[in-house]
Amino acid sequence: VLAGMRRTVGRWLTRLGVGDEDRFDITVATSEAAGNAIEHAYGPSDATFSVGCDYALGTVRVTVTDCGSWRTVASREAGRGRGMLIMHELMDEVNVARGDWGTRVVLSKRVEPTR
Amino acid sequence: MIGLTVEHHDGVPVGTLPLDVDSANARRLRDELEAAVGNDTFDLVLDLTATQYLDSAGIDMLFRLGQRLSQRRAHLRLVIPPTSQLLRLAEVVGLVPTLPRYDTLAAALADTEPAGEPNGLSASADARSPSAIDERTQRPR
Repeated sequence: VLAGMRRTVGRWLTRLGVGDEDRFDITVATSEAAGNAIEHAYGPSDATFSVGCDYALGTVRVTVTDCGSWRTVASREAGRGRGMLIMHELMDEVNVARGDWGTRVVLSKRVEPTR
Repeated sequence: MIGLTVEHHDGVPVGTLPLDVDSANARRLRDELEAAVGNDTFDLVLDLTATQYLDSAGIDMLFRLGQRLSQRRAHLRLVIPPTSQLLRLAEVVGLVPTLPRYDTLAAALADTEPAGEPNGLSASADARSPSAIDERTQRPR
C-alpha cells in the first residue's frame, strides 16, 4: 500500500518538475504520515486514509487524513516517534489536527522546480 | 517475495536489501537477516545501494539489528553510496554514524573479518574491532 502510494506521489512530483531531493523528502514524509494513519485503524485490513496533494506558489502541500483516533508516540515502540522526527526534518511545516472525525496531517515544503 | 538476497563473501554474509524497506517488510527482513547470521560470524554487511525508500519501520529494524549484533560483538555495516537520497535520511535519524557506513561494498568488506577467526586474536591491532582484551577489561564490577 505504502510503496504504491509513494510512487504515485513521486510521479506527480516528477510531472511538477520537482527535483530528486525534494521528491524524496516529500514522498518519505507522506509515507510516514500514511503509516501513522494505518496504525490508527483497528487493524491493517480496515485502514482507510486519503492523501491529497496540491501545489501553489512554489509550495507542495500534502494532506493525509484518516478516520482513526490519534495515538501517542508510545503506541508502537520508539519507531513512531522517529516517524514524526522524519516528517519534521524533511518538511518545512507539519501540522497535525485531530478530532472526533479522525486525524489530519498537513505537510508543506517549498520546492525549487527544475523547469 | 521479500526481495532480500544474502550471499557470502569469504564467509561474511552480505544482504542486498530491496527497493523499499518499510513497514510492509521490515519485520520479515529482520527475521531473515538474523537467521542469516551464524554464531561464528562477526560481521553482517547490508547493501542499500539499490534501495530507494526507507521509512521509520525500516530504520527501526536496522537499529535493532545493529544492537542485537553488537551484543554479540559483531558489526552491522551499511553500504550507502554518498549520492543516495537515503544517506541524508540516515543522518537525520542518527542511523549514520551510529552504524558504520561505506560508499561501496568493497570498502565495507575490507573492514570485515573472515568468519571463524575470533575478533582480537588474529587482528588485535585493528582498533575498530572489539578485541578479546576489551572483553576482559569490561567485565562487570
